[in-house]
Amino acid sequence: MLGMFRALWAYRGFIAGNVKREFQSKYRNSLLGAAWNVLNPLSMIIIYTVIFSQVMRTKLPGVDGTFAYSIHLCAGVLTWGLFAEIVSRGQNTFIDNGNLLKKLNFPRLCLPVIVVANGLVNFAIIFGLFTAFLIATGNFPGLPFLALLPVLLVMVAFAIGLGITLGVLNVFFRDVGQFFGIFLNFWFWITPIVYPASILPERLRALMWLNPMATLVEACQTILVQGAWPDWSRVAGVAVLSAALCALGLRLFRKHAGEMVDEL
Amino acid sequence: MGSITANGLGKAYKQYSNHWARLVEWLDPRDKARHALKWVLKDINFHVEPGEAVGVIGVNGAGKSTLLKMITGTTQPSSGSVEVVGRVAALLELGMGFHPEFTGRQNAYMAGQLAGLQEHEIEALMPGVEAFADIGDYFDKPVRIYSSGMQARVAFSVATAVSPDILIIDEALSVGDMAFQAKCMQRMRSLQEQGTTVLFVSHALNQIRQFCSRVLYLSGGGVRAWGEADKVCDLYQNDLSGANNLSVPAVQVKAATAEAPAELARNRERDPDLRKNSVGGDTGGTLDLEFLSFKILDAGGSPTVSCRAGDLLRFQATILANRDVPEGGSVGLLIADKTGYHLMACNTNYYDRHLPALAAGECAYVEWGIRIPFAAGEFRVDSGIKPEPFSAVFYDRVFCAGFFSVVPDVELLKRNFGGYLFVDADIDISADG
Repeated sequence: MLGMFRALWAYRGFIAGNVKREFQSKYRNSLLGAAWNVLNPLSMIIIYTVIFSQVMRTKLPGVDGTFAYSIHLCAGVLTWGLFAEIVSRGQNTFIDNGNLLKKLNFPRLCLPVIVVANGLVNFAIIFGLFTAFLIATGNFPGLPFLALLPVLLVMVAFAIGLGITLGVLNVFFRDVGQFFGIFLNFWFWITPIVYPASILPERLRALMWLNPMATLVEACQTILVQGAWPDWSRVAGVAVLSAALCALGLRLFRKHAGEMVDEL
Repeated sequence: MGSITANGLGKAYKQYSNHWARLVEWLDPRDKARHALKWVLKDINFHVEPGEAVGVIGVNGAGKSTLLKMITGTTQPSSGSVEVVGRVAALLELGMGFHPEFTGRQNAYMAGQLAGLQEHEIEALMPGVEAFADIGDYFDKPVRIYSSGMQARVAFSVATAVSPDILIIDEALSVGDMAFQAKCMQRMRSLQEQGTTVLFVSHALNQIRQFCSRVLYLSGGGVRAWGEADKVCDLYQNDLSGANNLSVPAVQVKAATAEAPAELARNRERDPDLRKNSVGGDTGGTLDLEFLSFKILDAGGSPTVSCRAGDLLRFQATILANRDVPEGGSVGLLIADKTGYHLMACNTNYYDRHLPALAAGECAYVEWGIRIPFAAGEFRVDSGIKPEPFSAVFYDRVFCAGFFSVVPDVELLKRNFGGYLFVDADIDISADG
């Protein structure tokens, strides 16, 4: 286990280089270059705000403020975006890098690490903008904002645990990738992102604890919309689940890493 | 410095009867195997000393690439073990896993990082890499627009930028042009002189003979031969041309009645492989006379595919008359280089020798005894029969009826001889003053 991390550390240059190159190559042939990195999320925030807060006049039950709904939406959409990017890229990372895996000998765990790092870079940009927006409109939640750190940490752990597990399975059973792509759509809508959990009937709300993402997204919404501390006990529950998923992912990975190259 | 030891090394791929079988195997807690193992390599044993240059040869599918992948560590052995001491740089199947969207320079960076180099170290090496690859502006263009030769140039240049303990090259040079191949051979030679162990897969036997001291010959998933480069290469060439399995079932034909020279072995067996290298098979001849077999023998009369300059080779053709033909036919023998360029013609009519009249069912036997004037190279032999020398019509014609190679003299090799003929020459060198 320790050796694994030492190997990853030895290849930090490769990981950092990869993240940097991916970031650059995304905007290589564009005139505005890195500006698109900012413009894309900015346009999304504007659309959500205009449509839901100004045009549809939606208000959250029990919360005042013009921007309340759009903050609720962004808190869910942006963090969900981080989760979805890590999982969906994690499940394809071994297949996409088959060429590299077959020709070079390097710690293969670099690949999921690169996926996480890339996801975090993209998230940092868009979330930084969102934070600036919160401050500008006077909606900054104050001290509870710090609670985002552990919540996001749990979310990343959950995402990469799931990502590695699916990634290994996907090499041997390509159906996994196809299935999960569809499943992710459903998952988005059974998670209270676009709608607040409070509008659900009582019976369905009782089942929400079965959805770890609902817990995490709701925690983010609690922090960002209400400026309150999240329900730590439920977050801790997901943290345990995430740790278990990571352990499962690593176990699967270590058992089948050798065979994986033969399948690619 | 780098050494490689393989002990009972083997590789098998799992084969499942269907997609569900794998799922069942994964889920079934009883640990029962539901796959068949397909062994591509079995029980490989060898030891490569530090600083040695070793060639790996074998036909396509013999397991060469799998072996190299196990040595590099990208694939796990299924049985046995391979012990590798030292830092390995490998060029497997063209390129080093280059990313098509990144430029050559970025890929070179990435390869350096993968080799565990720090950024400033790569920075310092980059001018050398760029100069050796020698692809001009393309170095800063995406790899996806590279030709395969350009990729090989960058890959080789990167792999050898820092002298590794072990350098593994898998046919990576074959796509490069002549000049680049020569450059690569020079660099490999200089690395080897500095103590790098080189493992080299190639189908260019000349390069192998020239560069490697020992050769590992893989065949059918096992080691066919392991030892001195010259001997193993000879064996490989013999195997390739099928010289070792000439015993083919004979076709029943009437006994020969025509008189043939007494010293000629009268063998009326039809060689089924005779025309396997003739493209299309249809040679456009009338087949009134037809080749039954064509053989290349050494002076002692046994089939051979290699010789040295000045050796006597005997080319034997057996010709069957399917119809009565008048006398006067001539038999052509052309010796060409690998590209088919004619180097030597020995048609029987040049020597005023002609076929006698033959009745249907009779055979004629022709033998050329030739002292080979070539100093080095690989050659192919074409043969044909015409009713008379100026006729446009052939009785029969066989392309690539045989192959042979001339093993160059060691003294010439050491002087990097490049040519087919070596002749005596008076050379005078003078200088000013």
